[in-house]
Amino acid sequence: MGMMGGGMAGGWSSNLGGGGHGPRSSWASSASMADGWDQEYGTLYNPRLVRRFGRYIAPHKRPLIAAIVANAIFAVAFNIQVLVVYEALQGALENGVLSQLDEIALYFAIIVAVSWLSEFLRQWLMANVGHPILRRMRQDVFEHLMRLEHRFYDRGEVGAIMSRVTSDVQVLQEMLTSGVLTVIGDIFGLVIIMAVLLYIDWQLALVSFAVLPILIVSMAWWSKRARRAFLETRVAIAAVNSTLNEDLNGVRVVQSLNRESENARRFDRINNWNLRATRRAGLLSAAIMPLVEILIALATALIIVVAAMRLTDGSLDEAAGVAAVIAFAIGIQRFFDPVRDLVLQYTMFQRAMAGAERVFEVLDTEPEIEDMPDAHDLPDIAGHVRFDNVSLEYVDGVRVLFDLDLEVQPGETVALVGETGAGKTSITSLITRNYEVTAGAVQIDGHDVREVTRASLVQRVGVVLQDPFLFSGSVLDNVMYGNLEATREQAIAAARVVGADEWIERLPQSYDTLLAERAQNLSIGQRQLIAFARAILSDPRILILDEATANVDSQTEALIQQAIARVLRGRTAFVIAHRLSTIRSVDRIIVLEYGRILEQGSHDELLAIDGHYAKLYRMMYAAQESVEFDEDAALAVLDNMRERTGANGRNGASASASTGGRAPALALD
Amino acid sequence: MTAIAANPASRRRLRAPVSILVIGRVLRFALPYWKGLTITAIAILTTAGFAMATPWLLRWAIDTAISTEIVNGDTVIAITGWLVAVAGLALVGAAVLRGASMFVQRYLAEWVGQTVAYDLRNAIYQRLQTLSFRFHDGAETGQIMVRATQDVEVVRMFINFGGVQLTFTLVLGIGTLVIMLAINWQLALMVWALMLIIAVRSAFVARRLRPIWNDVQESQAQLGTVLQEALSGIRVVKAFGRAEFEGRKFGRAASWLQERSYDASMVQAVNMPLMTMLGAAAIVVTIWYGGREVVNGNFSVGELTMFLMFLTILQMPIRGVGWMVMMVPRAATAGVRIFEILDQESEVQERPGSVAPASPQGHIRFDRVSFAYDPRSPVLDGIDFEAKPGELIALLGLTGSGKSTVVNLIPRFYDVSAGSVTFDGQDVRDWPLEELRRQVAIVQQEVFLFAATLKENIAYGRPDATDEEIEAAAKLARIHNFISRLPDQYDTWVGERGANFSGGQKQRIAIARALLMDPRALIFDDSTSSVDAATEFEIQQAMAALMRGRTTFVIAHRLRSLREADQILVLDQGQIVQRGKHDELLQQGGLYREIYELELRDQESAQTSALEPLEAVAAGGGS
Repeated sequence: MGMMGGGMAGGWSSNLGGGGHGPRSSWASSASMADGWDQEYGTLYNPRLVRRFGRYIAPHKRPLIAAIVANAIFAVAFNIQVLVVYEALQGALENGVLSQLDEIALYFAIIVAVSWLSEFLRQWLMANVGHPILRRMRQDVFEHLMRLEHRFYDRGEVGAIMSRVTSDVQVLQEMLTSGVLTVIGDIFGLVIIMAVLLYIDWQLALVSFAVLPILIVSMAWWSKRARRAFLETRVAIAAVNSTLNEDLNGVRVVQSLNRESENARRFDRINNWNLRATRRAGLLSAAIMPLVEILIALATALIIVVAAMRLTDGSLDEAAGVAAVIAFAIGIQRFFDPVRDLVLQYTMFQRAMAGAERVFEVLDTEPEIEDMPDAHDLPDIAGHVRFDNVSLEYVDGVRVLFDLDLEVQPGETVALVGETGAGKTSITSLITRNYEVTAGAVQIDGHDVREVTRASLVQRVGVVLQDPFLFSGSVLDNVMYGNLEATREQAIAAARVVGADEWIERLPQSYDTLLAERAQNLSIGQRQLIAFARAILSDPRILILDEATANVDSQTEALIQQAIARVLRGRTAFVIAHRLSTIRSVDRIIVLEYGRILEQGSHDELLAIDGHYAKLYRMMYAAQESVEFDEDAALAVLDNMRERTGANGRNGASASASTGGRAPALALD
Repeated sequence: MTAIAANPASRRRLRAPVSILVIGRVLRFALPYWKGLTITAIAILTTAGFAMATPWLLRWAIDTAISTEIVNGDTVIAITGWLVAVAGLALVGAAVLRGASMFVQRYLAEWVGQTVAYDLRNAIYQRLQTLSFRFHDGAETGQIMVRATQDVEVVRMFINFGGVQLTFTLVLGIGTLVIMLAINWQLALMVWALMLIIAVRSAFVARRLRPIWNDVQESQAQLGTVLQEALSGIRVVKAFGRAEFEGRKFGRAASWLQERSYDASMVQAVNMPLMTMLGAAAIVVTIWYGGREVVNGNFSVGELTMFLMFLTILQMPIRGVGWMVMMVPRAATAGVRIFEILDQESEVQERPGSVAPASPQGHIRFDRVSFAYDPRSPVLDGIDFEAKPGELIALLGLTGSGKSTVVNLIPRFYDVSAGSVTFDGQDVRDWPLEELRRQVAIVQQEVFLFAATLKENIAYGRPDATDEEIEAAAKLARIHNFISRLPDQYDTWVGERGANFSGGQKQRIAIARALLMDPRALIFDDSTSSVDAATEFEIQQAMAALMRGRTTFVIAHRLRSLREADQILVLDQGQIVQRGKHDELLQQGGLYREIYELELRDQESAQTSALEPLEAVAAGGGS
């Protein structure tokens, strides 16, 4: 029984022997820490959850029942050994007949064979039941998550959602693959060993049971403290790892700002916290086995003393007495083990229940936007888009679009301009029905987007986002993401259209080059070009470019601009761009402010009006806003700083440890 | 310097001599805690001793206190009461002592293991923080993280289980074997034959399970990747209607995970009952053979009991032997991977006794500088230029022309391959590193923010800055207004890598950060023009504040910067192909003119067409 340290959930209940040392996923342990301390444990029994669980178990009812039966057989076979030992000894002591010994040994051998078979069956059946159930559950959660719409993801953080699918299901896995059967087996075992001991000698049995309350009380005390201690080690190691990860990623900044020694101090502090936490936990985990053993010894001593007393006063037959003492010496271990186990499993069940609760919470979140029952596929369209008196609220009562009317002709390119929060992305999101309009309607070629299937809708509308998210896989895989039916040639053609062909060919394996995590081996411009190719591979009639060129350098932007010009030909397009130079040539510019259309028209028309757009355009290159603070005063402060620390001042040497605030994520007691 | 990358070779098995060397080195990390280890060793001996004492005492109690006599043909059992009491007390006493020493043994094993892990983590962290950019350019973060977490964990478990627990098992095993041999060698040999089968079998199973567990881990990682990508890229998934596709991807990974987990379970399902059975078989043999011997009078009841109890206490440790033994090669592999990091030497080393010039000015000179990762393909070749204090130098060139490398040589993030870089007339290699980097601040293109408050992020390079100073820097960086509108203002928590801030905001935070450093030289690496008009303007303003009185290098295709530059260096394939002022270069033609035509002319025409009157205002009011 080793303490498994941080990140290894439930480690203290696993045995050194047999198994229990399966790998634990590293990604499961670190992400879930944000969930905090309190939600970690639920109530032991929650009928609603058990019913939900029942639905997953139902298809496996038969093997499960078989496993329980095997479990019961095992419990009987395992514990009956004590009785056999007793009978054997008693027989041997009383009349010293050899033939009986052979018989007994034979019985014993049979029992051993039966327990072997039943234990094998039990484990085999559980392996067959547990893993498919978990896979089903993981798959269900994942598929459900994929069905949920933007609104859900706007709320939650990816990390927190991740932990539901990973660590929460993981906890359930522990419960399902080992926990439940262990508990059932323990209960069976406990009942049978108690029966056996009572049968052998009820008085001695009661004496040994007397130690039980001490065991239960001390175990309960221990497990309460251990639970907390181990939780702390998990939080601590997560903090260590995330600090390491962050400072590793930011190492260039660290070095350029001379933070090495200060960071080393901080890291040491967190590392040290983890050390102290693990030592505390180690103290507890080291204590439990000795405690149980001492109690077992106590019980054994009691049995010997009581047996001796009863032998002396003649109330116990000699042969039976000696045999009983020996049988009890073996049996007492088999009586304590399940009790200890049950106390440990109690904690795991609580965790599993909390995990199940969170898993089902995800499954119970209903998607707000689903295809209507009578939804039809969007037929081939020309690309006419119409916003008819559209209002949108993300949160009840907070409007982001106000009675918006907009009509875009097939083939027209429209640019949306406005400050953050003006409603640009909200408009484009409605075209693909990522959100449901609060009032009004969005129509494509006269079809209300709510009346068509989403699958057919997104097929006709291509989207390129600011962050060109690429998936792991090859370059080709990523281009093909836009249209799984496309051939390799079509995908390459799409790349050629956006002008990405040339440098892709130069990659080590050309189109089959594997992308590193988050495509770090490509520049952001290259990533964006792949995203472009991906978007046009399905040959959409409507194209949405949401800040598509925002993050690329100006050379790449020039490249992308050429690609855009080619790509937009013949398609209806919505372009959102901060950089006004990129949209000067579009057919129509729509200027938005606070969810309303302020002005619209071509670049020249809008400049002529000399309104909001003209102002924005000028600001690009001009300095017209007054400085709203006393620059000299600010500079003086920094000059003083130079004096304070000495003109050549050594940084950080005498620095105070922290600037206060939420220092390194340690605020957790 | 070898790159730390996903290298399958580093997972392969080591040859035995290498293993021994590595394990020796791992153990050297435990050496400082020799006191703890010594006490652990003593505790191992006493625990094993007291563990064997209990069955021994029981034997004694049964054989001495309970005497069986044949009187008139009847078996008469006589009990010596006080002996029973003594035996009972001794039993409890032995158990308490065993419990106590077992506690000490387990706790100290954990203590030493965790402390070594702590030391290793600190060593790895410090090494990583001080290794030059050259190392980090070639290293995969994920791989390093695996080494710093999983491999350290393996070493910890090795010290705890492979070291302490294995020793305990050996001591206990040898001790009981000797006693059993002394009492009844025939039975002892029979029983131990079975025990050995269990031990060997457990090693065999542990070896078989390892690749399966590696697969399980791998498939879990894969599942995690699919999940992570699908969730982070949910907008892309939705935009292309790929929910089902992702579901299938996930399903495949989940199936693999299920298969391999199932395989692992199956190995266990076969093995665990077998082990239990073998253990029980030992008991059967003991009863059958031992019972005969008792009847024959060669073996006492107490001895039989002792044998049975020995078998019970040996069960678990023997079953774990295989697993513990397997820790050794695992730890060796992990050790190699950890030492690969710890043995990295940064090529950027501070020269002992180096002193910084008294009052730094920011005079920077490149003298025939070459730089190469790999001698066959130089990144920079013969770079020569001089930047006087207060000058503005603009670097221009296509992607991959070496612009960023040039500026990274100034704060000595890399060392030159040939030639020299001097700062105030002193070779940067002769500067104390910390001093040099204090004088040079970089605003990087991809701004990295840390998970801390805004205040801490701004004061990142100067943890001792006062609130007033932080605010002043933020004001000059034109980010104060934005910050003061946030609910928590300067105490606002910056989430994962500043995801909740826009590119322009992050850039201005970085500028504030650089301002607080109060450097003599400033590098502004920004080929993005990722921001909207208003932000662009604010960044220009912030830059102006930052540049005042400092030698500044700008890598940005901004017409404004180029026009104001005292010197423009045009780079192509690691060489300076053109240099001079904007107007001169424009007349020269060449690469500068090309880039100008492609990217900059647009800005020019925009300015002249729409903004002529404003230009004058700006020029007048900007000072």
